Amino acid sequence: MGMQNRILVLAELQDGAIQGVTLEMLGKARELANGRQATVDVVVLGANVTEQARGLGAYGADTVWVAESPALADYDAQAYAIALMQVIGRVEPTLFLCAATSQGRDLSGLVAARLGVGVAADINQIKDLGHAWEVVRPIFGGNVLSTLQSTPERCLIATVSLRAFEKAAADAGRACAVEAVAVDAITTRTAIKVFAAEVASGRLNLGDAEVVVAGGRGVGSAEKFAIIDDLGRALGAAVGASRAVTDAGWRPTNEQIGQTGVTVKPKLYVAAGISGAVQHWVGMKDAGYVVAINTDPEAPIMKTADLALVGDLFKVIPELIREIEAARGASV
Amino acid sequence: MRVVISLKVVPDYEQVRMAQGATVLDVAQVPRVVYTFDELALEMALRIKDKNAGTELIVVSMSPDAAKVREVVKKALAMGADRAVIVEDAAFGDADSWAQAQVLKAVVEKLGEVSLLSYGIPGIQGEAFPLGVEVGHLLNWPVVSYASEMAVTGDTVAVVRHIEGGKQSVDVPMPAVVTIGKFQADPRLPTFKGIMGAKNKPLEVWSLADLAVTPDALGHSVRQTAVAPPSARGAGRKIEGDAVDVAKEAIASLRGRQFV
Ligand SMILES: Cc1cc2nc3c(=O)[nH]c(=O)nc-3n(C[C@H](O)[C@H](O)[C@H](O)COP(=O)(O)OP(=O)(O)OC[C@H]3O[C@@H](n4cnc5c(N)ncnc54)[C@H](O)[C@@H]3O)c2cc1C
Ligand SMILES: Nc1ncnc2c1ncn2[C@@H]1O[C@H](COP(=O)(O)O)[C@@H](O)[C@H]1O
Repeated sequence: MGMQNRILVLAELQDGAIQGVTLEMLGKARELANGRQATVDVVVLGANVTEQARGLGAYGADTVWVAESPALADYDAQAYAIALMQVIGRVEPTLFLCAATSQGRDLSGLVAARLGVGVAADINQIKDLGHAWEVVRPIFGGNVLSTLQSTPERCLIATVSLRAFEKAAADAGRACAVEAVAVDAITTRTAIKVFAAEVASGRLNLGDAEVVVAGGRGVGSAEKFAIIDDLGRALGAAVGASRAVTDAGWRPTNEQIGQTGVTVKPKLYVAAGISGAVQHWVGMKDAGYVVAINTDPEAPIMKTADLALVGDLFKVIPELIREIEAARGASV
Repeated sequence: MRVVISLKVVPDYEQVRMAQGATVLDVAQVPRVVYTFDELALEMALRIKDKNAGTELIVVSMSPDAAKVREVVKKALAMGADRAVIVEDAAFGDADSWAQAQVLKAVVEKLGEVSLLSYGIPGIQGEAFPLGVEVGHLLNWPVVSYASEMAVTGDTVAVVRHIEGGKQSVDVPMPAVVTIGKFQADPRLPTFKGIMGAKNKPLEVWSLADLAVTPDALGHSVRQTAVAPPSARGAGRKIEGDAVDVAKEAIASLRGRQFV
């Protein structure tokens, strides 16, 4: 494959809606492109996505490639890869960015396999060296930062951690070219059949949330978990839990934060009744500011939190909510 | 039905530390463990074996040094796997995922009649390479990632994927590659009987020459050039006392940061 001075971004969609991480990747792609007179291409895969795709011009895209088909409504790795490869073949990017999500990781790998190159996974920094790209990614649960360099003159494929980069600022007047990708030929070679998609409803999306409140074993029961929901509501936060809680069945497993759960990266993380085991910590250690509420001042999380509130969560949380409401009242 | 589980042996990430200012990472003394999600994949495969009589479960591990992974595959045999293969080659020390994928493909082809290849999703431990999809591509098998449940009926494996925003169920014709994500279970412990039985189970060590893979197929595309510790997180502020005062002080602090 040849290589052109173009940076390609795979838009991340969930439930047919473009996700914030797409704008984060676009912000970085635009900055890198400006530094090397490159263009920014975005590829959007799905059903009924053209209008949203067109809007990405405002966020720095020069060309948006739209592969639109009912066959792409539900994520199917093989079908998506076929559509994506058509765009890769035409853009021949020097850099291809995907979100570090289940979809982005899958598709980065599928493209890498087809191009015979590797993937720099879960990066949170990227620099243009001119002849190659340099990226940084955390390894060993974030205990080490690894710097990687791409092979000169070859496309670098990278998955980008959520909230690693600032979102592109919108410039409503900026337009982009829209290219349709022919997708009538897509049949899933592999006959993967989607027969049910159960999507968490109502609650804020944990992985994307700017504020997260999580409860642990210290909460005591499913009923008492309402207090965590109350604090979540007061702070406009998504609600999560430790594994002790999901194992006990107090909360569904998709709310589990940690090594075998969701990774969150909020600006504010509040952990109540959570001890802060390393398997929990790796799932939230990139939070901007951590508040812990725990009766035990010696709990691991109390030693790493920015604000360690020593006390019974059932006494402290109602007071916190009262204070938040008072503060709200005062500022209206 | 033949099921292959790939077990990757990695340094225990919880114990990997770099001092501030250090520029080299030495993991030689760090204890090795099986990659958490590979262990979950093994447990899930054992459950499939429990439910489907006639299932042969083979564990495979690639390593630059067979001695280092021998205990791990023996434990898998004690847990209930039927056969183990270690692929040993010095080049594995820094093989990238594409190279590993080529080896795994060769292993599956040499074993023959494999219906299901499974292992843990790349993830949080920093081993986030796309091995799963790459092997699937090379074998031309369907790939399903982030599985949290798996059940085999005839030639189909029903997989529940646990992904952002919910669950997706898919029926996949076998042979297939399934990578395991948020499977909520603890791997079983080997029983005494299992440990004794494992001694008579086949454990082979293959080299790349035994597989039709030439070492120059092992190449790098993304090379590590430096390592560094993350910047230290300073100890925070502790607030103690009466709940009312604690809350007042906490919220004042959060207001100062515009969180409230
Ligand atoms: C392979 C593996 C994967 C794992 N993955 C995850 C994962 O993804 N996510 C995860 O969270 N865990 C995970 N774990 C489990 C992890 O090791 C811990 O067991 C778990 O995080 C503990 O949950 P906890 O902090 O809620 O409970 P505990 O450790 O029991 O802590 C409860 C805390 O609540 C405090 N407390 C009690 N009562 C009150 C009160 N009234 N007010 C205030 N504080 C109170 C106690 O002082 C204590 O610190 C994993 C473990 C393994 C082995
Ligand atoms: N699927 C696997 N099975 C066994 N060993 C593996 C596997 N993948 C990688 N390895 C080995 O694990 C070590 C670390 O690999 P890496 O994470 O790629 O740096 C290397 O020695 C690899 O050869």
